[in-house]
Amino acid sequence: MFAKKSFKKILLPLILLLGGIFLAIIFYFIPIFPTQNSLVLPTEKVSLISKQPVTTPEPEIISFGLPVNIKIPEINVDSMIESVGLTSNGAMDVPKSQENVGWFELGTHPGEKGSAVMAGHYGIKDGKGSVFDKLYKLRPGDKIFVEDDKGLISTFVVSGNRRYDPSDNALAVFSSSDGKSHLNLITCEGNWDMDTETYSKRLVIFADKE
Amino acid sequence: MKTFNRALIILLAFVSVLGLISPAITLAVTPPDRGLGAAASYSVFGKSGVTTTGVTHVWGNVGADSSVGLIASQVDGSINTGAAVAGVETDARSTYDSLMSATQGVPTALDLAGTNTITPGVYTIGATTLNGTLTLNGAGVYIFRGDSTNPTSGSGSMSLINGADACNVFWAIPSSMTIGTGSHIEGTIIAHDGLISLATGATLKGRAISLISQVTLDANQITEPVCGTTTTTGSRSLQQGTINVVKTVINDNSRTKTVADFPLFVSDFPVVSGVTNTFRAPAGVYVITETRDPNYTQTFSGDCDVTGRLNLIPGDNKICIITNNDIGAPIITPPVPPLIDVVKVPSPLSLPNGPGLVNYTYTLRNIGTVPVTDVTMVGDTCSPIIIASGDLNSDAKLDVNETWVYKCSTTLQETHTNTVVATGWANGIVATDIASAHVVVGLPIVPPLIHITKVPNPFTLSAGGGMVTYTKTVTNPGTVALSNVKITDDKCGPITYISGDINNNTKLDPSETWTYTCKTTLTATTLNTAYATGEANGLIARDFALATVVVAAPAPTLPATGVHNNFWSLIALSCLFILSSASLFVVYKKSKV
Repeated sequence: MFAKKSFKKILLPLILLLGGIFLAIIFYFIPIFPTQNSLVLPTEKVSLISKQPVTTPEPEIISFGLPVNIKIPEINVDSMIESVGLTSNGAMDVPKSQENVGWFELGTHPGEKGSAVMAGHYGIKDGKGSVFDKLYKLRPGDKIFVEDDKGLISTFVVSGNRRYDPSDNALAVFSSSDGKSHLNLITCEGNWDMDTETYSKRLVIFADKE
Repeated sequence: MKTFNRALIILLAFVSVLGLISPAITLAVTPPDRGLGAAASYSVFGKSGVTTTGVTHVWGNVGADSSVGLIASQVDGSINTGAAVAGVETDARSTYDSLMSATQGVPTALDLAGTNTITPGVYTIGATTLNGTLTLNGAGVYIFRGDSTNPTSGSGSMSLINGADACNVFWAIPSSMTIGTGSHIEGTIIAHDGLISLATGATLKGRAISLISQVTLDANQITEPVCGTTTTTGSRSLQQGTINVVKTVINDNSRTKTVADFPLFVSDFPVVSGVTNTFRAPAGVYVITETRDPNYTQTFSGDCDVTGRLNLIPGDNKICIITNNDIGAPIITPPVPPLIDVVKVPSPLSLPNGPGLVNYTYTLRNIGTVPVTDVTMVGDTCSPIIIASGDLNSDAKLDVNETWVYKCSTTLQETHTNTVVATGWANGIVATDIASAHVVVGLPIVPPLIHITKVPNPFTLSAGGGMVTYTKTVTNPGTVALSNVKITDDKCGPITYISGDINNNTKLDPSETWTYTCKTTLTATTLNTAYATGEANGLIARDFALATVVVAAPAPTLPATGVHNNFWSLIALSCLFILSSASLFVVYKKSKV
């Protein structure tokens, strides 16, 4: 009898406790950003494309190393760099890890003439934020440091930003003809679309080699 | 490239001795660049001597520099030594070199042990032992190459069926060859360094030629192969033509395949890019195919139609070009394609008094904007092609504006069109040019020569494409003025004549350079083929020019960089919570009662 009574006593607090834990979990998972209000599993895009870069004849290009690390002190980014290619539908691929930045290896090397392009994730998943969650905070004059596998560090200075629709022609992001070296950083913005499993906008930060 | 008109085909046929008659394709690989020459009448030749134990019988001639251990009653032909065998070793050595050269085709490894059935082709046999039955199935040339170790035959035999003929079977052995007791072997055996040794009772239908060492015999029967016994009519050269399949590869989308990754076939017979092959004609439609790669598009140009088909009439020398362009992985900065040009001039252009020596000079130039690596020159009927000069900085690259000169000499027995295919690489793209030269033997006719180059401007276009101007330059490297000069292009028109006919006689004189231009809009990477033809003395000269223009693929769309929580896992968690709290609530209610 005593055991039964004590059971009854703890049952109600138990339910409340479980409910509390559940709510905590729910709120932990729900994104803190008001724009992200629907919950859909993002699909990992797998590149079907060979990642063998084309050999280029100019020796100056060969001397550019593979970028391995990116630092943006303004928004506390210090991340590894993955090399990414294209998805099967012709979009630039994304890094496998939420914390890493992906460099578009079919394009320009950072520091080389032209526009080097890198992309990082945005959003919260499994309780973790992504590397470019605060990319929108970058202002002209902020610095970006890219280190290659030979230890050479290239410094880029933010010059501006622009919002794109996912289907916009992004030629200006991937190429430039002013003979200078650029680095353009891409991430997502806007609302999560359950159908396309992507955010509604793309944010591109443009930077020039110092 | 020159083609006969029909009347001349018949005329020239009488000075031509060529060809094999069979119901299928006659030659799957290039015949040896030179016939056996003075060695052809010998069944047995040992430079350092021929010996025998037991009673051997040889049909055909037997020769050696000094001693031959056979007596006249053992030899149907004659036994020759000393001055009488002059030229035998040299001619056989030349055939040996030809059999070992790359122009014969790509070899397949073959283990002679056990029972094998093979089709015409080039086989490397190493030191394997023939101890079963080797069946050669089908008409064509069979070449067996040994390596530095000794190929031996146990008690093996060969069986030739469906048109296979001992006169088209060759054994090129670098060291020595031993034919086992009681074996039966067919074909011409040429041993370079060592002995050819036939053990007791072995039989050979063919020839045993040792270039340095001896031939040792032991109670053997050696019969000479007789070629073309199935021929019922004369003018055999009327019944064949040649096909040369030329492969180009364009990797402008990051892929890395090369020419060798696409095996080529003419009506299922394997061929090698750039190598001229002889086929029966007329013989319906020949279909050029390749082992496809799903990541590459395929287009045909040259003498074949868009599906790779061509008809061969006797005397034709047809060239079919297959271009593979990679799919996917567009890159923003288009790779610059290489451009090369080859011209071939024979000297003399004609041998009116009959067979004689011809010297070919090949001039290879880089007329593009990037250095070209991996330069190859594949020629038919003349080898070796030796570089005489040109690589000034010895970097093995054909640098921009560098000119390499190659030379090759051969003895022509009959009127012949010799084709050379030059290839090189830069930035993952093949540059190819083809040059042909026609030499008339036995008739007082000087054949025409024509040469075309084509340079696109620009070599690359950004995404979306744009206008390209091709400048075509036509010259006459021969000695007779060309009339009826025509320029066509498979992917650009119209072609506009600009200048060049200095004396306004409408003939392309040897000193003249005629210039044409053609403009077109390209939206994708394109290899186009221009053809120039000109006539003189009733013969037509032809030349090709190939040029690639790379158009960058459009920029990729922006990446989908967003991540988000897993919707379904939250739903599942919620359901679990609702169920568990409901059940606990029920338990709580019950326990209160």
